[in-house]
Amino acid sequence: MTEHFEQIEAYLYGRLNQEAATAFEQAMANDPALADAVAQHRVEHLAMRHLYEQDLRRTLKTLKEKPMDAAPTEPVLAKRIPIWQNNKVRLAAAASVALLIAVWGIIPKNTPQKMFEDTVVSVRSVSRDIPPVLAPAYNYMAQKDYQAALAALNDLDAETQTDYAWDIGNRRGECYFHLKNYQQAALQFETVLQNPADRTASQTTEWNLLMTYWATKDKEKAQQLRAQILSTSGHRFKDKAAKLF
Amino acid sequence: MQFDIKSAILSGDPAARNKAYSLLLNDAMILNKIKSWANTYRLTSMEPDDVLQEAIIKMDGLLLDGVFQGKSKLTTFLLGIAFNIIRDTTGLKKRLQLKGVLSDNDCPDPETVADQLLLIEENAQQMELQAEVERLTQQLRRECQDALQLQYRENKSMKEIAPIVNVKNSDQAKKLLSVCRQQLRTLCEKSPIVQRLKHYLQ
Repeated sequence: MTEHFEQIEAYLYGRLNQEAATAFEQAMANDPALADAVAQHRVEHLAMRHLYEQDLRRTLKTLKEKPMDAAPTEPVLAKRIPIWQNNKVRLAAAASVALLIAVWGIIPKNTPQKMFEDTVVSVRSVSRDIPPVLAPAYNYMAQKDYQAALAALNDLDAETQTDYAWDIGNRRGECYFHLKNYQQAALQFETVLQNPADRTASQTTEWNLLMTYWATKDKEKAQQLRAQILSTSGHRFKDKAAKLF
Repeated sequence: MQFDIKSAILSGDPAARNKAYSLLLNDAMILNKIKSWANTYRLTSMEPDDVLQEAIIKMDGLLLDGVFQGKSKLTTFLLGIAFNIIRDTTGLKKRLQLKGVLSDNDCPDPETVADQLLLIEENAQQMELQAEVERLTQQLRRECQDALQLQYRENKSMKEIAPIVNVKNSDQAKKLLSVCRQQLRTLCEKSPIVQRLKHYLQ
């Protein structure tokens, strides 16, 4: 390594006080070899900075896909094991393929889960602008991190909970549904229906609740709610409900 | 207690930093603002998500350099960088510098922050050097890439670096860093491009 390694590093990292930095610059001006060594260190710093930014870019990409509480808690640079040496990865891959083959022919074309998902997506695509205060929870839902979304909804202050009671209750229900906690999902939708924001909101929640009853295999409640939807003139989910069961 | 994003980024704690980045990346207000500017300035060369990512990377660098000294306006600062990137439709290779040191008072809004940022046009020599350095870094062993960037950014102790780079103790970590730095130096010394252009780097 260079003779003045520590001193050059201290200068480049800005660790020298003003007086020492000025003296060092003077020394560089008088000593071409020292100036050359500093230039060499600058190139090395550029390389290290590039490596750092490259890794940060990878980290940001991962965090974008897996936000917040789901974010990795291990260091940015986790230990790297070549993927072909990782037996867990091999086993998981093999198991996934086997599972896919096994379940392909078993899953019914229409499940409450699938219909719920389709409806929620279509509803959301035409929904009014998302209130900014709810955006973090919506973002988590978009990332399918429903636990984090629930936490974000629960963290909202009391005033917001009141102002956006329908949005929050309905989203909570959706999160529970996706987490397969159908009892809690039903409870949320039922509560929301007691005080719907408007007619459209009410009909959306009714449909969500119908999917939830279906998922819990509560035929009686499901049939009752379906009949109610079918008998409501102009219900936006009438056609879908008619095709059920 | 509110999560302090700036402190988290500067903390050196990877979990805290990841949480801070994650909050910024998934902040709908920030992304909506960037989308709005992207529309206004008819940005087509980059997606708004990419602008945000690059702005975070540049912000991270400026925070490390200690030029942003504000405590409460980090979001405004980030938006200022993003606005600057969009308004000046930069290439990603350009370096971003602040005209001076910024405090909270200098950050009333993103547009003002953007005006305090300079995008340094890199000349042909600097760009050639940058490309060569990037090429050389890819020739480093993987553990050297990890060790060198940890040393550069994290300011971690050898004891902390050791498990991350898969060595047993701080002595081995120190030895690894020394070997890696030497490897990088040798690559640079053997590169005619680096030797020809290194004095262009300021």
